[in-house]
Amino acid sequence: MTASVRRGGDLRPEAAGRDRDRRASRRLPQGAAAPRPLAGGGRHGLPDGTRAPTSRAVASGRRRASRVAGGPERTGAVKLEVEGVAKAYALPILADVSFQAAQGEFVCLLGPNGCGKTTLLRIIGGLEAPTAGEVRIDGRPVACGGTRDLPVGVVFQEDRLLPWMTLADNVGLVLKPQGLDAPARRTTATRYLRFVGLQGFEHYYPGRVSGGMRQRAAIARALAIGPDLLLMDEPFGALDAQNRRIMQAEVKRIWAETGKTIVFVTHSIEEAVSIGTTLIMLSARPARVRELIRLDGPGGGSPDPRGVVDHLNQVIMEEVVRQQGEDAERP
Amino acid sequence: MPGALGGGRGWADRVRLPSLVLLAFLLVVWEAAARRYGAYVMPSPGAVVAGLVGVVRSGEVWTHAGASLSRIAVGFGSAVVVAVLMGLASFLWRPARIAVADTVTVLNSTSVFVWIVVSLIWFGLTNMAPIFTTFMITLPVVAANVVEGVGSVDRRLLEMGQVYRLSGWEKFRSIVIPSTIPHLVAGTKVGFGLALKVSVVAEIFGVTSGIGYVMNYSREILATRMVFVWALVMIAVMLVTDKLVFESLTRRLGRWR
Repeated sequence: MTASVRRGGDLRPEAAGRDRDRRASRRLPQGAAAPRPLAGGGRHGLPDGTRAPTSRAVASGRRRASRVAGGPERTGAVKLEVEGVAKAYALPILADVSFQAAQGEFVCLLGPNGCGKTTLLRIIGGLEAPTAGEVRIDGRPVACGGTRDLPVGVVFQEDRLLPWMTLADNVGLVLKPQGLDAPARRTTATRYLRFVGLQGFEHYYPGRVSGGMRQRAAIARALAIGPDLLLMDEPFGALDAQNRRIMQAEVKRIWAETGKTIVFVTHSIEEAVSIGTTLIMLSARPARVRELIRLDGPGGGSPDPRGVVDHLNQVIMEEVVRQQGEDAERP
Repeated sequence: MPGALGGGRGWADRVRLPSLVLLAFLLVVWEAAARRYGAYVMPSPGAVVAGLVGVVRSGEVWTHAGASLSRIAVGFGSAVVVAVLMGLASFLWRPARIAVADTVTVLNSTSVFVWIVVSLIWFGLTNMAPIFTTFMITLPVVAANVVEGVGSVDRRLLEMGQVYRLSGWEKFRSIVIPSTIPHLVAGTKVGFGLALKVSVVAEIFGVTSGIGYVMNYSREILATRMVFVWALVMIAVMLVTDKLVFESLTRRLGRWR
């Protein structure tokens, strides 16, 4: 399977190009990429400003880390800007959330249960309008419900595949707005299903395959539209522990091969540390960014992932206690 | 032991043994009652079967069953079309949803007899009377199912369509219609059974063909045997339609399940 998957990945010219980039950046000494300033990063003090007082930056000198550290700096482009986003329903959910993500970053959103992680993701995806603040993708504001010329791929908690369509038709369906004809849609769908390891299952109905495979198909669908940004909302929450680990590795591979910017909501600190390059911990409701941690490598790249996990566990416990305290005070 | 027992049960279930035993018992009771009360009150099973063979041979069965079915086709067919339009309206427009739901409730509470009498007044002794009655009675049954189907469309799937910027028509075609069709088929199935029962009652008045007409006519000429024969024809039409049309339809639509 892995062999075919690799082939699937290499079919894509952009992925191949990025691999070349990566190889090039890998050859560079570490210092060469680092001093280059991040475009737009200075305004909000990101990423350097946030590193100093509140969060811990985990430095890394491993081989793999240099490639990932080279990711954002390589292009220097800010892909996603979240600026002062607030959201209130009956209660204020998000108070004032701001952060930025550079092209190719893998951002994990963490936080206590019910702190608004999913709401934030939905605002980024244009499914809900913020009460205040703005989200920009490539500098262009995201309008809720409006037709965006920037495609954003979303993988939901549930697969949200249409049960009456085969996996290939499910992927092909989202290509219709791009005006592709039926054979082109079929070819593209097959290619992306192969890329996520579903070769041979193109003509299966979602009800006939496992939950993990359905989530793979949902990822294929999200990738097929060629998104600038991939949003994932606890996509593996419904999977068993074993499938979860397999899918984490898959997402890491997909991220590495496509170079997409990913925002990934999870409640599992271990998951975030093992796959993310940037961890954003939201505070208790109403949420702000409590911590922003940039890991220099996904999982293995960090010298002490255990330390980060322990630290974040401590932070999240503080937030949960604070949340409960505030809830108790409320009549 | 479970194997042996299970095998035996599988065989018995396949030929519907319990029902056959019950049928044999009822035939015996029927025959006894026929001997006790006479052919006018209770014709014997043998005589009824002979009568059935007679109407099939003479072709009378096709004339009357055909007349009833053609009225059902018009009355019930229009009911399905109108029900789908009601479902569509209630999907697209919120005020329509409320109006449709209330209309369905009121129509569902209206007796068959109201429509029979009203249609006799409006249309007289014509084909339109049973057609209109069938239409008015089956409409709320089918519409209730379609409206429920349209209401049960998974909002999360529609949101997925929004994320991937599917057009309104594409969302309707790929998400709304497939979600509603199982409800439409269920409603049509129930509605068709009701249509057959209702149209036959409406045929008692004013028309000169159809299963209802010929049953009532047989009663008037004291041919009780033929009443039973036509009752059997009606049951057969219902069973055959269910088997041929609805079972295959359900199977085809449920391929992905």
